[in-house]
Amino acid sequence: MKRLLSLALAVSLLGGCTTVGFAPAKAHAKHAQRRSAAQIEVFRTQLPKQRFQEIGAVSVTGTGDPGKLVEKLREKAAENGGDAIIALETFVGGMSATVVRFE
Amino acid sequence: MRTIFGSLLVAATLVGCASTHTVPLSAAAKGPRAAVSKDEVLVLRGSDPGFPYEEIGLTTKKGTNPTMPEIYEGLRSEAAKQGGHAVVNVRIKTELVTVPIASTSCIPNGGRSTVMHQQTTLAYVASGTLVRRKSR
Repeated sequence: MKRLLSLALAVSLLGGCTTVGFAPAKAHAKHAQRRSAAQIEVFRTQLPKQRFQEIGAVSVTGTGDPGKLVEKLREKAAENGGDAIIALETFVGGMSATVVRFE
Repeated sequence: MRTIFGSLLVAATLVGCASTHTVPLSAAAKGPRAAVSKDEVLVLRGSDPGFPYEEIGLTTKKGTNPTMPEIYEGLRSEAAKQGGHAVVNVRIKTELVTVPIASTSCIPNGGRSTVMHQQTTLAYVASGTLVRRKSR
């Protein structure tokens, strides 16, 4: 029973909230925001046609609607000066992606 | 009280599990290198740091309940310590693991009672190739 309760707690914790993070490729590097979240392009297996620079990575932990998780990644990428997110990956309990800025 | 003891033990267990280390990739890579400032180190999921480089090691960071800033900070610190200028091709693998947790509580006669139970947590391994800028 305790095992079941622990598992239920873990699932509810994972499902109950989302945590979004951005990690810069270079410590303390700042890039001005120039796109809204809705304008952030998302790529999984392809790459943008423009030349770009990798400026960091974003991750979101939480379960539920994948569309909402991607939206969180878009928002975080936009806040940190990204133009697109590439190499979108899912993992147990979340998603991560590379944030790039067009040159 | 029991909850506090339990929480402390969980925190101690999680901290104890976290580790970062580097395995040299070649004999030549084992030579002594001057440390690099953390601010100079790039951490990339791609493989192009923008300068010619030589691979010097495989850097990994393990822990639980990952956040991207914490993972990148760990890899960056390890790279700087090892004299690397970048960690490239960073990949993160995660899995749900069940770990035993002990809860200790005080009982009326002055003794303590310890109960073991299990908790599910998200464990991760982040790894990347440690590289050093090639001098021209």
